[in-house]
Amino acid sequence: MKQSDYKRIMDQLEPDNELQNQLAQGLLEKGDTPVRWRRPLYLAASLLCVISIGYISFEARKSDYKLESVISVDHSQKEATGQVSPHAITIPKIELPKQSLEIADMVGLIVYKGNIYMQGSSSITPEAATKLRGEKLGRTKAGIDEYSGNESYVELASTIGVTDVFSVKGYDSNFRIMSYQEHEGNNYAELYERLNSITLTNGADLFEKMKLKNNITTVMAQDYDNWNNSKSTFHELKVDDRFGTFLNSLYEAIPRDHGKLYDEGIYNHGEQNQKVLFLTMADQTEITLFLFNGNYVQYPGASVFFEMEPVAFSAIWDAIP
Amino acid sequence: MSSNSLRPGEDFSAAYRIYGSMLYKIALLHLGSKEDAEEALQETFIKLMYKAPAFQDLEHEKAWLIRVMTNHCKNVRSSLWRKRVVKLENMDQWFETAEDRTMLDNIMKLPFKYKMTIHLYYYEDYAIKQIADILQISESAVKMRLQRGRQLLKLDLEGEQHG
Repeated sequence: MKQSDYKRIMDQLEPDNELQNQLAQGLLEKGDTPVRWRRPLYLAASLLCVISIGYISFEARKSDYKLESVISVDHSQKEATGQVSPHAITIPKIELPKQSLEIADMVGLIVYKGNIYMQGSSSITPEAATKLRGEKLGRTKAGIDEYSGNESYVELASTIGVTDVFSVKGYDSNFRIMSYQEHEGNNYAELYERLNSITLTNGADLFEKMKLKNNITTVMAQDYDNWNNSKSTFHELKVDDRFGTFLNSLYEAIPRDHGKLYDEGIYNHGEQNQKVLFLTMADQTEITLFLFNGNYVQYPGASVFFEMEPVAFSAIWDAIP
Repeated sequence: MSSNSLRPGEDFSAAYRIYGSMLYKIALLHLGSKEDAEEALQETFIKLMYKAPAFQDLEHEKAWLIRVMTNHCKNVRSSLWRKRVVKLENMDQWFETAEDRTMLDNIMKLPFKYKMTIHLYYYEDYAIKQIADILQISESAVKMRLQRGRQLLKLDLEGEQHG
C-alpha cells in the first residue's frame, strides 16, 4: 500500500450529506442523560464471550496513559516481622486533578471513601453480579470528565454516569466495588478496583485480595499474536498441581518497578515476550493476567510487575503454545 | 480564533465545514460503524460548543478536536466487546473497487494506537512532534508506532517521512 492509496481510501470516507443538519438539531436538543447506557450495553455483550476478558486496560498498562501512577520504592515498609522489606513498592494515591485531565474521560472511575477506583481487568457476568451484589454503598454522581477540576472529585463522583454502587460479597470494599443497575429486565455490572495508594511487598498483597488460591475453576491462555489480533484461539490449562505451584509462586513474587522495566523495553517484541492468562473464578468473576518473558506477571491496572520464581513461571509459560 | 461563542446554526456550520469530514474519518477508523462515528461527531461538537477553551488559532482548535475525538473513541472502545470487535458496518457503499475495500479492511485491523498515528502522519500530514503533542506521547513513541504501523500495513512509505 502506498500513501496515495491510503489517501484515496480515506478521501472516500465522507459523512452523509444530511449529517450536518442532524447534528445541528441534536446540538439544539442537547441534554444530559443520567446514565451512560452504551457502556454497560457493550459490556453485557462482551461478557458472553470469554475471548474478551482480558483486553481491557491494555492501553492502560502502557506508560503512555497519563492516569498511570508513578511508582515509588518504599524502603520504610516493614513486614510483620518488623524487618524492612527491600522489595516493597508503593503505588501512590492517584490525584487525578494533578494529572492529565483530558484522560479522565477515557476510563471508568469512581471516587469512594476518598480513593479512586478504576475499571481494571476483572469483570463479572450479569448473573454472577446479582449473586455477588453486597451492601449498597451509594449512588454515583456523574460529572467527572476531562474538564473537571479538583472540586469535582467528591465522594462517589464518577465518569460513568449515575448508577448504584455495591460492595462485592467475598471481597474487601477497600479493594473492589461494583457498579450495578437494572434496565428493561437486564442488569449491568462492572467491577472497580483500588490499585493505587497501596504498598506491595509480594504478590500476595495484591492477589490475595482477588482470592485466587483455591477459587479458580478455568484457565484459558493465548499467545500474544492471538490476543493482539483478537483471534478466538485459546489454549486451556488444567487447574492442577502445576498451576497451584504457579499461584503459590505468584503470591510470593517480588514486585518490580513498572517504569524501570518499561524503559528497558519489556513491552517490546510482544509476540515473543508476552502471553495472556484468563482466569475464571468459582464465583464467575474473571481476571486477566499478562505473562512477560523473564518470569514477570502483570495485572493490568496495577503499575507494577511481579517477578516469579523461574521454574514455576516457566511451567505455565512453556505450556502455552 | 475563539470558539467559545459557538452555537447551533451560527458557528457550528462553519466548524462543521472545517472539521466535520476530518473528525468523521477519525471516528470511523476507530469505531468502525457509521452510527457510532456520527454519535462521536455529535459528542465532539457538543464539547466544542459548550466546553471548549479559547483557542490560539485554527491549528490549536484542530488539535484539540482531534484529542477530544480520540479520547471519546477510546472511551467507547474501553468496553471489552468494543476492543475485540471493530465492526465494518455499511462501508461497502463508499468504495468503487473491491481492492479499496480490502485495503480499508487492512487499515481497520491495525491496533488502535498504530492506526491513529498512521492517519495523523500520512493523511493529516502532521509532523512527529505535533502528533506527540496531540496524542500526549513521546516523539520516540510516535516513531515507534509509525514504524510498527507501516510494517503491519505494508506501507511503502519509508522514504517519505516528514517532521
